[in-house]
Formats: sequence, C-alpha cells, structure tokens
Amino acid sequence: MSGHWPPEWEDSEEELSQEAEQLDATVLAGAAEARLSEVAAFLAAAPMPAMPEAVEARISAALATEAADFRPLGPAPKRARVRRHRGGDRRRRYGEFLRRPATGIGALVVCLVVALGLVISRGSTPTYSSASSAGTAQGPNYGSASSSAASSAAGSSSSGFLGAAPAPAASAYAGPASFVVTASGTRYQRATLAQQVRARSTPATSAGTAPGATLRGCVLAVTDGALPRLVDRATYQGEPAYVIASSTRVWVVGLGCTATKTELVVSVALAGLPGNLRALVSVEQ
Amino acid sequence: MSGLAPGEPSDASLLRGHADGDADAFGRLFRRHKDRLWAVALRITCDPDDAADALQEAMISAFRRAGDFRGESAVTTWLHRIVVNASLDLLRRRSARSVGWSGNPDDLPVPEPRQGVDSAATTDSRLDVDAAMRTLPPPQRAALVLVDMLGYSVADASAVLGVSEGTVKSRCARGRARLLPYLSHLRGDYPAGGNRPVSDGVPSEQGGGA
Repeated sequence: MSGHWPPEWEDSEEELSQEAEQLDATVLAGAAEARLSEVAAFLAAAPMPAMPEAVEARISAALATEAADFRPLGPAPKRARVRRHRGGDRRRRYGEFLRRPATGIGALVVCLVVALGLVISRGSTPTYSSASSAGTAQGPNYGSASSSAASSAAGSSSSGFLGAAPAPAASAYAGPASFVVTASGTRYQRATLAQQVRARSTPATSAGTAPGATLRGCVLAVTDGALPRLVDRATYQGEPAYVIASSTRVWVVGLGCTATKTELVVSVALAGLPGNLRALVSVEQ
Repeated sequence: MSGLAPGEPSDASLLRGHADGDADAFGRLFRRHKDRLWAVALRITCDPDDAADALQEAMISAFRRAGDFRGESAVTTWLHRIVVNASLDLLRRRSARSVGWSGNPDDLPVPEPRQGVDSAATTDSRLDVDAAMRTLPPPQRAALVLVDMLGYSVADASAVLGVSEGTVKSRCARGRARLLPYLSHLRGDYPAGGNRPVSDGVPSEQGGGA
C-alpha cells in the first residue's frame, strides 16, 4: 500500500511473519476457530452489489473524456532524464503533468515566474487565464473527434501560452498550453548547438505554426511535459531535425519523433541563461 | 480463456489493444469487471459516493498507466490493486471521518440505507455487513473484502494488497476476531463456496480463506 496510514490504522508489527503467527495464535486462542470461520462464511455469503447504472455512466463518461484527451502511457522512453525529483529518480512522463496537486502547484509557480519575467522584459501586463485552465494535452490515437479537438485547441492558443484560450469545460486535465513551431532554416551544428539555441531563445509562442498532435506529443515527451522555449524545424549536422529547447536544455530529434519514439539525436544542457530565465531555472531545478 | 465466448479477447488483449490505441478496448475491460471492482471499492470505503470517487480515480489511473502493465500478474489483479489503493488513499485523505469503535457492539453505528444507489443496501444482511465492516481499520477491511468476501486466495490477496501473505493472514484474523462479537447474533446457512474470484476474465475455482 502506498503512503502512510493514520496512526489508528497502523499495525507496526504485522510485517513480521513470526509475530503475525503469534498474533494468529493469540487470536485463535481467544475465540473459537469455528466461530471465526463462521464470520468468514457470513462475509462470503454477503450479496455482491452490482454497480449502479449512474456510477457506470459517470465512469464511462470520464473514460470517454480521457480517451478524447489522452493516449495511454507507453513504456518510459529510454533516455537521459533532465529533472530529478525529491527523494530519488521519480520520473515525470508525458501525461502525468499536473495530475497531482503538488505538481500542479509547482507548474503554476513556474508559469507565474515565467509570466513575471516576460512582464519585466516587455514592460507590459499580461492577461491570461489560470494555468490550470490553459490548454489540454491531446491523444493522437483516438479518432477524428480528438484530432479535431487537438487542432482546435492548438489553433485557438496560437497567440501564446500567456494568453491561451481556456480549455474545454469537459476536460478534467489541465495540461500545458500550446506552443508553436518555427522553421528558421538554421543549420545547427554540434559544436555550436547551445549558442545557436540561446541566440534563438525567444518564447516558443512567438511567430510560427501550431504543432500537430504527433509533434506535440513528441515535444512534451521530450521535455517531460514542460512547455518548450523553442521548437524549430531546421537541420542538425546537415540532417533535417526538430530542435527543441527548454530553459535549461536542448534536444535534437528526428522529424519522425513521436511521444513513444522520440528519435533523440542529442541532448545538451544550456549554460549562461538569459537574465529573465534565471529565476525560472532556479524553480525548475 | 476457455470461459470467454469464442472470439472474445482476453483481458490482456484488451489492455494491450488500449495501449496500442484501440479506443474501445479499455471501456470493454471496465464493463467486463465493473461489478467486482465496484464491490471492492464499496466494501472498502463503505460509502457509495466514496466508492464511486475511488473507482473513477482508479479507472482513470489504469487508463493512463496501461503501458506500465508488464503481464507479471493477471490483469484483474492489477486492476484490483489499483482500486484497492485508490480506495485506501481516499479513506486516508478522509481519515477524520473514520469510525472508532470501543469494542462494544452497542456503540456501533448503523449506516443509513442508500436509496436509489444500491438496492442491496436495503436488506438486513447488507446493513449488518456494512455496519460491521465499518468498524475495521481499512487495511483489515481490504484484506477481508478480498479473501472472505471475494474469495481471493491469500497469495492473490497478497499480490493485490502489496503485502506479505503473513500480513494478509494477520489482517484477516484480526478482522474476523473484531467482527465476531458484532456478528455473533447472526446465524444461517451460508453457501460453501461464497463469492469466487475471476482471473483474466474467467471465474476461478481457487477459493479464499486465510
């Protein structure tokens, strides 16, 4: 069982089988074994309730919403992880983003810090809906309805994640808002990758096109669900590739990148961050 | 798979199909086992509203994590484990509402019948079971639900609960002993087999009992 029990639930000695056997002996000595069997028989004969139709309809509807918003998680891609969470190597994967309250709060803090940094750099006041209502992650494999929803969501949020349109009310998932894909034609090179990315380190929500569901899944899988700063279709070492950058790292993936097969070419850390990103990095790390 | 109709996919096939993008597969899996999963959630939480919340949370979790299933246990074991965990997690969050019991049967609360939610709750037997189960700490309750009420073997219950077989036996023994005074007024002929577990969509003959 996960987590910690309230004190009144605890049986601290019960994991020790020897003591458990002694306990059994004590219990059985205090009450007739036949009567304990009678209790078991009574429980076994208790009617097994059928699921009420209302509950079935509710859960079916929740699963339908889930199917429209997500694809199921596949096995974790074997690649280097950037972030390490407290207490070890818990991995955050695409689709898990913001599902836990603590994660959601952390993401909200990150978004607020980003917003603050951009406000300072632009000297303007943003207007945006709350992070928890901005955008939805999309599942690429669940038919035309989800595809059209994905296109709609991506298109409606092309003005940038700070001004993203609220997510559909039916969605129970508040994933990261959308981003855009640029096609700079930059010829990225291994030796200068970080410098070239820093030179283009403008928010990924600047001019560009909305990503398709497949590319979106790819990017969020690569960034562990975080909004990228840059998604640039270009070349790397002369080969067509997507260059994806967060505030701390840059990834180069093949054009066939998907959520489950990222075709990762290279991943390097970014150093010497622009001034308004330092606060963000300190939060993410 | 002999218990399945010809052409009917196994639980593992449905889960694999879901992970591969079959939009209907998980819904079929859910409908196939919904009553037993509901029974687990309801018996552990002892509250239809909490059971519905826990089961919905569990199904969404299973939906999202289907790719994590490695086939090391039956799909039903995996699903039951998720439901048990979700139910216990919900109870832990709401532990302030848990019922303490002095040991005196006269002090036991009797739950209200849930009209329109579960018709079985209107029976005396059901009320007795509900009231009795509420007196147990949830871990003991979960062990008794699996072993005594649903007929899981101790080994299978151990896999579902994620604890040792000795712990399952201990929890069952403690639970039965605790229920004994409360149920002592009950007598009757009970079916020898009781409820039976299912394994991968097929009713199993392996009985429970600590």
